[in-house]
Amino acid sequence: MVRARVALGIGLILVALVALGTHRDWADGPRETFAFALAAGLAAAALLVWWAAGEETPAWASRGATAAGITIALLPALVHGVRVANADAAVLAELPEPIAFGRVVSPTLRGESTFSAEPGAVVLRAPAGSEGFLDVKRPALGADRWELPRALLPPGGASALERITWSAEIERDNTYFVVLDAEPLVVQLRPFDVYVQTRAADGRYEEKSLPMSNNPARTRGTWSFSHISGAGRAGGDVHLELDGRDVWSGRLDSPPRHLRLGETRTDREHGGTLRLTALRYERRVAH
Amino acid sequence: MPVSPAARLATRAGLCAAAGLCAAALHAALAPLPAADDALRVGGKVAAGAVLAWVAVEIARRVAGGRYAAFARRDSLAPVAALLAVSLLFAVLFAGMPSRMTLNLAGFHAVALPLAWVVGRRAGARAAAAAVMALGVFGAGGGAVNATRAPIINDVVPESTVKWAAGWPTTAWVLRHELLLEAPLPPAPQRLVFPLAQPYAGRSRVSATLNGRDLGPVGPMGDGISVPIPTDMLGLTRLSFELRADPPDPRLRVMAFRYGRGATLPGAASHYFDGSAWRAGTFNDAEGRQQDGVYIVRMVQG
Repeated sequence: MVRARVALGIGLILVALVALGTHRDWADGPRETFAFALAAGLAAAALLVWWAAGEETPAWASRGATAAGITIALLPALVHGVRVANADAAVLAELPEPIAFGRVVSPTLRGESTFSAEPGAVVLRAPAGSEGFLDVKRPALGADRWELPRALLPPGGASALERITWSAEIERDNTYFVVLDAEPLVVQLRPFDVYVQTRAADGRYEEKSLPMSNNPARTRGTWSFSHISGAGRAGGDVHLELDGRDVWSGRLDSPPRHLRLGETRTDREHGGTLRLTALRYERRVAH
Repeated sequence: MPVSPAARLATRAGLCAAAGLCAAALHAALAPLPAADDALRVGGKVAAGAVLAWVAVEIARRVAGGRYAAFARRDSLAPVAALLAVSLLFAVLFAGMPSRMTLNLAGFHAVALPLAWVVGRRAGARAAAAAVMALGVFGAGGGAVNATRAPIINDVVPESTVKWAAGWPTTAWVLRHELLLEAPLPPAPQRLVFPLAQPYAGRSRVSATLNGRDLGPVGPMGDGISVPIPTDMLGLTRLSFELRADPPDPRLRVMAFRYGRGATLPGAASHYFDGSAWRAGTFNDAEGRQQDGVYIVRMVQG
């Protein structure tokens, strides 16, 4: 009996060591917390088995305590295995139809801006001097999604790739229209280019212009913005595409504070209309 | 071989520690973004709870076993000391939570004082003290549990399933609210008011119909949409209000509530037209989903 218990203990310790050896930040969260879960599970199992071995303990209670001890010792390792197996899982949100815009965006309107859901599109009108933009909702998942890698739970979590892809028609009233405000990155349309501006940690601005031979007042296209955050990347790697064409790639000194489509500027050089026909948000583990 | 009291104490303490460690392991393994110290705190609370439960069981056993019989006839200040000790325990346990401390102390004394008096008369001061202590142990365990529920009356929260907001996402959108009255309204000016979810100062205007009759623009004014009931319709017992907004504006929203108690047609008072069909309930446009419930309205005289 004693030998069986010793063998059981060694087996549980080996499982815990294997789990610790295969720990991944993106799957299990911080290493010390995961190690704590394994250690606490083993300690609880040891105490339960010790109680189970007592002379006063009835046989049924002894069996129950032993089973509970094995379960609690194995649980962190099992959870780890499930999360690693779900490495390709994604958090997705899509605009199903214009009237259900609330599932993916939250409009903010000030001044003369208007917003409505029309057949086939949601339409945001932000004349010069009025702020009007759509905040892309970044779903935060709760405790019930225990099976997902931890990097997926909070928006912009460590080692997570966030991507939004949206199709839109933009009609500029004036020189500028904000396509995407992902502070510290701002993407704007101008008459002859796509103008990308980033702000470094020291407050310095960097600019890039992607010339467009034909950029009339009305522009239609599918944009894709992706951002990878994680260890070793202070703010994250960023990639922006328009109709499959690279617009800008680089690094940010801080992660995007928000993802906003539309006019976040109120000067008279801005203003226009955004007709959003499709939007997809996804969050994946960045391996 | 009989088990020594020390060994029994050690096994019980071990079980309490095991309960705490199990909770800590579960928290560290499953919580969304756990930190080891959080898990340790959870484990400590569970272990403390296990100790309290164990103490309560021991007290109950001893009382049932008559171990206090020897002390039963002695007069002493034991019940008062017990009351003070438990009060002190509550004060320490709920330090920093004044509402909870007050509520628990008031509740404890409201039960403990008559309990001590009744038990003291029948079984003596020591038994009364034991009863007060046992009540305190249960009170400390139960009082620490946070079982609060979302209040029924709450500010509008988009993701709420109790009280949310409903707007007009498109120009074709219509909100309908029906009243089925037991008797006609009194022959005095009456209005049905739809309170707004937030103050509105935009340029959208709401127009209304009542039983199909066009009433023209009805707001928003102040913090609500106020629909006057024409005097010649006050005699009707079924009133169907329909509201349209032009242009649509997501800042203009009325409030909706999950529970229809108080509505004259509790499950069927509110509908919305989405441009293609009438649908029951409300549409939470901030979340993009249909939600069963009713628009919040109130009838106002004058």
